[in-house]
Amino acid sequence: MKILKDNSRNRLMRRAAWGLAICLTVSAIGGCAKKTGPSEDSMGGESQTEARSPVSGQNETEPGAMGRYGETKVQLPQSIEEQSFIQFIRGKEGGMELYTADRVPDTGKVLEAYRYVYQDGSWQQDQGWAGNQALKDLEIDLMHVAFGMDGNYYAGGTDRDYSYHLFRMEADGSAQELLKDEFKPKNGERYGLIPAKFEVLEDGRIAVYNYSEVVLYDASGKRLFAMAKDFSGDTGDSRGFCTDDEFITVYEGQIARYSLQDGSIVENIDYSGIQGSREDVKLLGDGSGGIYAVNETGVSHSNKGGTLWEILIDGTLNHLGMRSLALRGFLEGDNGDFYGVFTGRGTTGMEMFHYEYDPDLEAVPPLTLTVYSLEDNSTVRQAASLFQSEHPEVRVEVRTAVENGGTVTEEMVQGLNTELLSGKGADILILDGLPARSYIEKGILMDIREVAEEAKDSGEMLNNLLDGFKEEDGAVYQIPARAAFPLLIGEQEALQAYFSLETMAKYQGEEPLMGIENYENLLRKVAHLRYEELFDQESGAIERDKLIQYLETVKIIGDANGSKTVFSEEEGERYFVSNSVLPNGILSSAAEYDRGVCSSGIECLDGYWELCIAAEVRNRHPESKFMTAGKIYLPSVMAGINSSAANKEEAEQFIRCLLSYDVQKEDLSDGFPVNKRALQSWVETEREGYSVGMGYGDYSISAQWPGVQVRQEIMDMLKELTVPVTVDETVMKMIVEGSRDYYDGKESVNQAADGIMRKLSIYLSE
Amino acid sequence: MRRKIVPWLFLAPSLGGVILFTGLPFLDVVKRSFQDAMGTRFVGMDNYRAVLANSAFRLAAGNTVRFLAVCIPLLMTVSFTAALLISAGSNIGRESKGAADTGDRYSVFRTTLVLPMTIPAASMVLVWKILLCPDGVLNQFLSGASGRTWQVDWAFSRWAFPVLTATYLWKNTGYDMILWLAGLQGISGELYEAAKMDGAGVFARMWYITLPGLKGTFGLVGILSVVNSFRVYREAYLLAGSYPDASIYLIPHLFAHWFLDLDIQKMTAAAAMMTAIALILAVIMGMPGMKRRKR
Repeated sequence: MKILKDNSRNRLMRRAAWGLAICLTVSAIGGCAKKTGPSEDSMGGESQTEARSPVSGQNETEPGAMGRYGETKVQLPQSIEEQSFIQFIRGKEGGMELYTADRVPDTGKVLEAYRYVYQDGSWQQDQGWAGNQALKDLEIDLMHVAFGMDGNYYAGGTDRDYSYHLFRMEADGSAQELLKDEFKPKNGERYGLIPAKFEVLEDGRIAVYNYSEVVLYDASGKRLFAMAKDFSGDTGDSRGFCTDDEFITVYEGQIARYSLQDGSIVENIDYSGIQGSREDVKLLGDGSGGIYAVNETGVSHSNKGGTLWEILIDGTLNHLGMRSLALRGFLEGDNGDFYGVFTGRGTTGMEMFHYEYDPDLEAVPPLTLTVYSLEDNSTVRQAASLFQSEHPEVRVEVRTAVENGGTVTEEMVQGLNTELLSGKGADILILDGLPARSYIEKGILMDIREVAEEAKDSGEMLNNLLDGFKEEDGAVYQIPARAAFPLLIGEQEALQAYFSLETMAKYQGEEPLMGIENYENLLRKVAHLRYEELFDQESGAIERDKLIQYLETVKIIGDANGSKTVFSEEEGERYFVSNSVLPNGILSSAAEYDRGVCSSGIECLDGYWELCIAAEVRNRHPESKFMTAGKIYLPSVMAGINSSAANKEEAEQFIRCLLSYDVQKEDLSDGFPVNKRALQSWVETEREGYSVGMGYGDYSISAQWPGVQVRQEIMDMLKELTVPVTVDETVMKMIVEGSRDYYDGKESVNQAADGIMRKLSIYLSE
Repeated sequence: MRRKIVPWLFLAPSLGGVILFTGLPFLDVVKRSFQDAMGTRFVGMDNYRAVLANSAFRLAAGNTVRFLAVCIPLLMTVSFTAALLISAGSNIGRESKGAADTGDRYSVFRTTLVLPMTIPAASMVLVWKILLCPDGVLNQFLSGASGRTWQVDWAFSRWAFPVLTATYLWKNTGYDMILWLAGLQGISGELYEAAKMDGAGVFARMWYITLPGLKGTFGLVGILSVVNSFRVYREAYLLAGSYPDASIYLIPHLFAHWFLDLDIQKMTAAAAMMTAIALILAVIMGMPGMKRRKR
């Protein structure tokens, strides 16, 4: 009987096991299957979170997902063109108001302030605004304007001594100063506090935004309490706002909701749902306790009490994501629409855009063009924004391997290679840091000679910068969108030393040829400057004799100027040097030449910003000259098209966009344009009032924006450069690591060269 | 029939996984070894010829073989000796003092030897670097002991190979020892008792009982040691980077660089050759066990 019972139990167990196994198999297979039904999330604009991350190679979105925010330009009065932005607020009766100013070019002092009001779909100057005259009478430079919840206007600005004053602006044009003592310099300080912003509550309480806290005062000016926020040195910080009873801001990586009764935090909201910059994000209320977060990735919204952020407006599809623009003001309209005011980075002039939900627009553009780069690049982002605004049917997805400040690793390249091998990967590859030569040999990159020829034939490009990428058979697989070059400054005798390794080694001036720095930078710098002499441009190899000459030359230069492999903290402070390393080793050293510690200086020019100090140094030393290092230049933003790209035609158009005047004319601090017309516009750009300064110890130098003649001189130099330099980083690392003991005096140059050549021969034979 | 099917059913999940995730992709590897880099053109034996003519491959393959030839016998000997000592010590202890006491004492040895397995490679390599760098502990010890300054960069010089061998032994001895101990426990104690009664000495018992009884374990330990030896790349890479001293430049170094350069045609050809060699080795190592099972 017992045996029978056991048998039946065993049978039952076996059946149960089989049942479970079948269930597991079915659920595993079912879990892997692709959903074919309509997406539950495809509900107009709210579906964009899902649509934001299409799998690589997946170019078509599901049909039927309709509705998204469209962007239209709002015409601003012509008079605004030369004015600078001050504030964009909702004023009396909820009307939108834009405050601007005419400024003195050099000092930035406000000459006249203006108020524009939005009426019947257009902006009109408010001629009756008395605020300008009132502030002029008070000799105040207007900085902030606010319309308080108490129904009064408030204005803040600085006086001649750069002390801040806050006023309640009365309807009759008079002004009553508030919080008089709060902005005065405190004990021993030269300047008083200049707040980033202020808000006035319904009961007259005033919230003043300082660097890392917001202080609340009662209507009589008595300090009540402070509420901590993340630090911001920006005088237009918008990472916070007040409602009737709450203050909301970014604090310790979260969004904190403070009670305005006692200053305590009543809620922390997870910030991780918001993508993009945390420093430049603007927070604003939705009128019912919810929050809008606005930055370059778009507009996200979270309801009160909610934990999720929905992306209302995808910033990558419009001007919000454009790198040449800075979002200065953002307001919600009356019908769930939005208005944004932008200014150019480093330039005057404003643009306004209106964001309105359009149910007839596809939720996500039907075609996705992917651009891959190892590191984020502003020119690529700029081109992506412009391309999308010109091609509403295309979404450009820029994928970067590392975020700002991250380190590129071999695993990232391997990850990309895996995609490329499977015939997928991005449509466009930005080849900076990638094994471009290998990709060309393996057929990964498409021949884009037509795009290159078309660009060159247009007469608009600096053909000398593009010609270096033509293969022997005439094919073109990569085109640079930006370029930089080393600019030498010094007297003729010193500059002539840069003609060869031999002349560098033989140079015997009163001062060393180059300034003191760590040996790795010195090695990298000389490798770039003497690239043609050192390396085989096809294989990147270096001969043993040449390697020895190179190592010895660097040693001679280093011995003369006191370079070391590693500096101690004390040495760093004494000689103003550091152990940090640049990929091309070219640290700005025009100031070193000016200080008289070396016979020449070098600047790696990637724009006219970098030229200011060098131009000023040349003014100080009339005997000095500018010179290029042979004909070398450093190409960047190297664009190529994946031969397996699904959207080849659009990819070609994107590269045309990348090289176009509209993208190239923007100075995004990542290199000179390769577009001649854009470069000419840079030459013609004046930046009055711009100045830059530096100093260490007793030495200091300040410089203005370089004059047009100097800018033209640099442009002429760029036109002569024909040799693109891309030093193989693997080879460079081998040389740096293999020569360390030599520079530390632990081994001979021959031992170092032997060690390097051993590794190099393995690398080259691979 | 039923008895034949049941074992296969138990094997099915893992066998299925191996076929799906290793077997089939490997067939693709073999296919691609006869094609160009992007798999668009048949190139016959060109890739194999290119790989065999490649001096980096010859160096890496030579180093890998040298590493296997030195390390596998060394590891098996060291781990076997450790297992024998612990097993013998435990037996003596059990006979003289009782099981509980012996367990505590000898588990310390076992744990000490197995511990390196549990330490992440990155942490372990950090310690090795502290020990072996020019200003490291080893050089300071030698300087103190000899009275002259030692500043040898052990990981980046001709000493790199012994260093890597030591790392491999340190990491894997405990694991292999456990396998040997399991094998030793499978040999009946009665056999030893009977042999002792017949007057067999220690070496006779070892030769006629222990070694024949461990033939199956020998194959298993051998195969797993070879497999683990291929993983030593992780330590080599962390210790000395992508391009280490030529003496420890191994096949995985080369594969990693080929993959970075998308030289898939070379990788697949080399992988096919290496797999063939590894299979042959595995069969040779597994032979003693197979013969015993047949008997």
